[in-house]
Amino acid sequence: MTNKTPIVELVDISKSFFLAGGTEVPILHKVDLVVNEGDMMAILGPSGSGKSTLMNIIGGLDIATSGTYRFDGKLVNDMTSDELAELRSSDISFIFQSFHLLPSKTVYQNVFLPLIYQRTFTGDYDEYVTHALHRASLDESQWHKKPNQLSGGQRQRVAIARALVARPRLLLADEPTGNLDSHTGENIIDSLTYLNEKYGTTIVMVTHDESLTEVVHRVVNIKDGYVNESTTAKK
Amino acid sequence: MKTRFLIQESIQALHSNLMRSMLTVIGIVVGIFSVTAMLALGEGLSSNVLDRFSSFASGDLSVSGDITYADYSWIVSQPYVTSALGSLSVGSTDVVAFNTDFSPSILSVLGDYADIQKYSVDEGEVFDWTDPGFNDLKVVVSDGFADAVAEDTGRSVVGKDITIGGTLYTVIGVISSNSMQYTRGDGVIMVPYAAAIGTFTNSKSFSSVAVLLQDSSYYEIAGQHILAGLNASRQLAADSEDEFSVETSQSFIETAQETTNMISLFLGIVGSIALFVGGIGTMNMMLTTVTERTKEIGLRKAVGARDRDVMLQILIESVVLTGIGGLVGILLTIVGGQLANTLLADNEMIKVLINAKVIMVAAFVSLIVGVVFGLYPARNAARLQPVDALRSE
Repeated sequence: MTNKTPIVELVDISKSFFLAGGTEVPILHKVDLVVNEGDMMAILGPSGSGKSTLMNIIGGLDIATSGTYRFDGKLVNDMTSDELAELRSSDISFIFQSFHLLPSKTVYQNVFLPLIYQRTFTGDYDEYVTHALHRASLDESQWHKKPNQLSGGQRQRVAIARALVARPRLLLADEPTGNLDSHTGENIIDSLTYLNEKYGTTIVMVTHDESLTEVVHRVVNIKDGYVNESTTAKK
Repeated sequence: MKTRFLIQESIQALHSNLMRSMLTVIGIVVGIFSVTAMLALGEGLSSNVLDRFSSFASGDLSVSGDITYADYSWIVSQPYVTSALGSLSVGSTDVVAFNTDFSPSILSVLGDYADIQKYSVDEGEVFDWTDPGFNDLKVVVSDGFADAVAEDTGRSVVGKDITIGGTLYTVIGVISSNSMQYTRGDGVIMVPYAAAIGTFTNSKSFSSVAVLLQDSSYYEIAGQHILAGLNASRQLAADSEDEFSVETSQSFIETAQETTNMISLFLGIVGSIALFVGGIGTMNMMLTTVTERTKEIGLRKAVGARDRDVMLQILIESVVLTGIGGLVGILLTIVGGQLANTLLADNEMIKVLINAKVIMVAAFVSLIVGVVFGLYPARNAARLQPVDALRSE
């Protein structure tokens, strides 16, 4: 699937947090990483290795302390808060481990949410939402339910539909199977694989679940903030 | 973010916290009701006082001092003067009608009474107010005096004789006018100018002359000219106020207006205290909302909301709350005002006047309260970093 057009380019990316007394806590060390259009990649590492921080930086939710990050050739480091919002709105979507669905909204409304922040949207809102719901394999009978009426797997599917609705170029999934039983987790991974293969959506998954290495093209290991690309991808 | 989505999202957020939203709205309702009610009371008072001042006001100018008949004639002869009315200073005296004592005010005027003091003849007739030689023992009484006599004796005074200071006078008519409406005691008795001199007063001079101008807007220039003319006849400086003074009814009205404005302002400030408390309640709710919805705000930012989108949503939620509170508060004031006006129909001073100005001010203030008290929570929400907000518990 990979066509070798880089969409994400990280060069010497470091990230540190600073404690109240000014003590520096380094999280990422000079990370170099390229994600190509159409990639399906897993960033694999144990808890506390810095993988979520790396995902947040790639997704424009957080800014690196040093290094260079380009998304589709555009320098992300110097982007303003509004420009980062625009990047997240148009090009990057997230699937969170804990779903982050709004409990007061229905499935349909949750999926609709990213579209309301699209400044230049000219499509048919309903068409985009129903298309995303179908792509996430959500049955129509679920669309007007509230998240608390759904199973864990169904909630994750809603989160996937919400991530797909704006038709992003890059989909970032943080432990997409973390809160699901193994059977449901497998179904979710199948759905993500289908999206990658059928629509060419670039997917980066952050996980500590080594079984996912079997379904991705590339595996990047991360440990104590250091990254190295593995050859263990089985696909 | 498109405006319709912004409003939809705000209303949905408020609806999901319905009880808390309603309690906050009640705070604003009380505040706006309080402000609107106070403003309406102030407007009522203002309109009432101005009406009375306007009805008391005699002509455009009031010249005071020891004004002789010659001075009076000179004033009347000025080309800018339409008419004038001189008043004698008449002391109080005993009045007996049908063997019953009364204490009315005694007035004696010369000039165009009909022109300067609007009145209507309720019964009988009036004598010629402009005739300086008319000294028949005839009087005209106000409706207040006629009513007082009718109430105490059960009889009508018209055509009957009454004793004023020991002398018999015949009542030839009853008049009513706004200026007599609020006179203390048993109404007013009007005695002819010539008959009053030597009987009720020894001076032939008027204590005041009311002047009606052809063009009221020139009251200042006309006043200065009259004062200068009268002073010149006494060899005094043109602007001296040693012997004469000229007041304008306009200045009375302006003073009254300033006073009622101050009272309205004071009432408005008193009412604002409740609104301030309501505003603090709104801010408290919005701060709680932002804290509770930190994760939601993080999610909104993660899916593309800009800082200003988040800020606007919280601000709109706040403005919707205070706007609804304002609307209900205004409606409550309208209903309450009508009820108060009905219940206090006998009270001439207290009147609730809800006009467009009061409603506009209340509506504007309720929206401003929403913006002012929503700004701080909205700014806090907008400043949240998405990654921190998503991580919050």
